[in-house]
Amino acid sequence: MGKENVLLPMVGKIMSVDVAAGDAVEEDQQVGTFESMKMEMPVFSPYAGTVVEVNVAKGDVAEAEQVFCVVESD
Amino acid sequence: MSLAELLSQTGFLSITAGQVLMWGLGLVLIYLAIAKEYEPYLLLPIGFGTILVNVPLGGMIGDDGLIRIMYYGIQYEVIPPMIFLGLGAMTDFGPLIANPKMMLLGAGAQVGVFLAFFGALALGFTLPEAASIGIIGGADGPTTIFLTNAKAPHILGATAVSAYSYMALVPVIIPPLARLLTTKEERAMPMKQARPVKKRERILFPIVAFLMVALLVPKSAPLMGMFMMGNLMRESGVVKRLADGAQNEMMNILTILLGLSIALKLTAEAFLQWEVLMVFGLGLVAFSCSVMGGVMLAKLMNLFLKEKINPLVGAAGLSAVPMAARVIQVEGMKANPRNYLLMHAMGPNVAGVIGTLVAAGLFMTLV
Repeated sequence: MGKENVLLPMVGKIMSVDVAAGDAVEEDQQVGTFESMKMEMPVFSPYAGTVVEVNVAKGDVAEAEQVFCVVESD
Repeated sequence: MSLAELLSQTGFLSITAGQVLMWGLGLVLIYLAIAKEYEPYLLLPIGFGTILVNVPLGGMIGDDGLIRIMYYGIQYEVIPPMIFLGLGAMTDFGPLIANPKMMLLGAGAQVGVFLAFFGALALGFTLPEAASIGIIGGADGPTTIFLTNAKAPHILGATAVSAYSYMALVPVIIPPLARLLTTKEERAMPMKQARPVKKRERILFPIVAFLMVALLVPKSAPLMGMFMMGNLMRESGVVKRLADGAQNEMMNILTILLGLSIALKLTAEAFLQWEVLMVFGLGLVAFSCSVMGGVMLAKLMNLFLKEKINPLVGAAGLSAVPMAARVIQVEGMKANPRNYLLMHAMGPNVAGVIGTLVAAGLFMTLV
């Protein structure tokens, strides 16, 4: 068990946040989408566990490696 | 006036079979632009322009014809460099500055340019024609038009349409070639996040890059100069209105002029030559070899690098910005859903533009 950060892979605008605090996520589950250079891409959780915190909102412009959400791993 | 005389004043009696064939080509280009959204910003005006210039007695291409006058922008080599000003204002060199090794991949992808050049020579094209055909492999429309106008203006219709058609087909051409040359493990390889780039580096880059390239290959100065000027406007942050104008209004107006002017070379007499088919064939060879050259060079570099490059990004050395990089992103993600190569592919992608400029400058000097 440990808290793991799910990071935004590159600079972009958050297009959707598909999880909320308390949700269970599987490894490689999509947690949201972002747009960079007019291309929409998904963000996947590298960990299975429970989302404890969502750190971005739809419409945010975020930097690379910004924390997207925090997952407490199983 | 008799009915026959009246009729002869219309275009109907003067239509040639070649002109009708060119209407067909124009319609195909318009269809591709609208239904398939293949480079619509260029193929739509080029397509309609093709119909315009193939209407008999229209006078569009006579000495004071509308298309002829627009074409002076290409003939005097004004429009392509000005388009580069807009491209420079749109281009983020950050990924290349953060990872200058990618410059090599942009150069590696020019291999198709030179292979097609020698291929065209072997098939009997003259030196200037072969250079203009080879440059199609750089996947850069304005550069192709710039070089062809200077060296072999009689085949400009063919090289321009070929370059823009294949650029539209980047999402179709790159994936099978890149997959052929890589294993799934290689494509799945993630790359380390590039370092952030400082504002000072971004400002110095266009100035230093221009001086280096223009001193090395002086004939590339008009294109490279405008490209870097546009980028300096963007990165300086103090002329936001100019940077915006260059990449929006100016770029849009020039795109219309460029698309319509190319039509001057798309009359039935100028275009319907058997060489045109060879230009299209060689153009495809040039494109494909450029993709493969980039991938192979990335694999070669990996033999020496501690931090490996995903060989897919080599394929983005083709200049088609940012389409080539987007295609690489999609391919990388297919092999590994957590693989984000977009920014890494932008490095070779923008380096590819510079690479093609240099190749064109070399041809301008040597051929």
